[in-house]
Amino acid sequence: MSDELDPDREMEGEELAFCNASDRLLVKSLDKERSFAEAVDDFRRLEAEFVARAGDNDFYVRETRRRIAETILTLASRKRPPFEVCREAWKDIVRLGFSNTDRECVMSWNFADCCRYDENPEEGLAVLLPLVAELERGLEEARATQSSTDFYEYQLEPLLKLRDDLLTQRSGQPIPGRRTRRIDEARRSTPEEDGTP
Amino acid sequence: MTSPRVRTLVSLGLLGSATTAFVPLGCGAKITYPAASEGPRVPDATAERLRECVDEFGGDLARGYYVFDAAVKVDEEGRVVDVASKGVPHADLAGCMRLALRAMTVPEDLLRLRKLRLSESPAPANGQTPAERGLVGNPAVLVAVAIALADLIIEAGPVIVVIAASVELGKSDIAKTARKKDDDDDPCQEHLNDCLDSALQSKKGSVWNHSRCRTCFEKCRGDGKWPDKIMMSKWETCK
Repeated sequence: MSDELDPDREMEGEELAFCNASDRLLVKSLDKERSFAEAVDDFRRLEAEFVARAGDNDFYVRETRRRIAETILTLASRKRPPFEVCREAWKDIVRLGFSNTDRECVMSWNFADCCRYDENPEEGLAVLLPLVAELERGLEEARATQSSTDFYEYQLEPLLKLRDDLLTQRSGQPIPGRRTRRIDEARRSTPEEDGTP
Repeated sequence: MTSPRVRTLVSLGLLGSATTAFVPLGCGAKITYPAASEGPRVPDATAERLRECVDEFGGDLARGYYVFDAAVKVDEEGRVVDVASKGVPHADLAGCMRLALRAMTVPEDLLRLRKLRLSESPAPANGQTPAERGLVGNPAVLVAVAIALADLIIEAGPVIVVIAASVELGKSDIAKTARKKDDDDDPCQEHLNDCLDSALQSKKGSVWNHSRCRTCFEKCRGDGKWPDKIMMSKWETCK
């Protein structure tokens, strides 16, 4: 974690304005009737507005672009556009870079979740395994120096669950309780479900 | 739709001679449209995004012209569901431009064109009027209409990228796939609404430009339930 600002502080100014607008858009975008493409368009407009407002402040510009890219990947993981879209959104994030380890963990989880849904475990594991290994090293170091292990355990928990799902998928086994694109498409093509006589 | 090769030659010819509409830009790359270009244009927001891609990656290309042929598939409600492309020998630039097109909002007039086209009786493609030059449907089946957009030319120093995009409107397996509704309820969504209605809405999240509520929402997605607290530089409440 590299954020030097006090997390308990109130946001203000441009940061508060961006977050208010972005969070409102996120709620709107999560609506089932709102398409992924519409949501992306909304967020790109928001990006253009706040990048313009940032002027020459490179930090504001960079971080605004990162937040927008992160939101688009989050929405891809939620709304399930074709896998290629999720992959491109992930590449966009990697290109922009991660602001801190928390961002890397959350976004890696989102991309790996896309991989799980589209049954592409190798690509998901290629992202997750090095990250998990790095966090486990940090955890061991924290234990060895009797420092707090909370951060590492906190980040590892969801990543390990998803890693195990992907390993199960790679072995050819179904993941209980987890939906995939194939399952969803099969459901839609079932006569009883889509109304086909 | 005019063949990509013909469109390319026309575009490059027009580029050299036409009085073009220049869009002033803050960065290096600039957008032009051939003055005699026909057909609907890429929306301004998308054009700007494409320009940013060229601005960022165009420097990696050798001097010359590049034609980015893109076929944008759109479902019946105007949502972009797929972008196929070729012609730019730079993976990051191509990916960036595909993502920009993927996010495009299809102009209403294009959707109206499709409705108009579908309501007409089938006509041979070679019987088109000049006004229909950009439209090529499938007269036998009439389930899709492809519309050529006006070429968009982006200049970045010695590199010129011509974006020759077409929009295919209609039914497709991909479109059907993308139209699916998520019927699994998101347990995190309602909590996010509640959080944004609370005093936490103005609290900072894990990074700059990121709210506490958003950080809690992301943790919820990973864990499947709204967290009591999240770990930043210290534990912070989500409730």
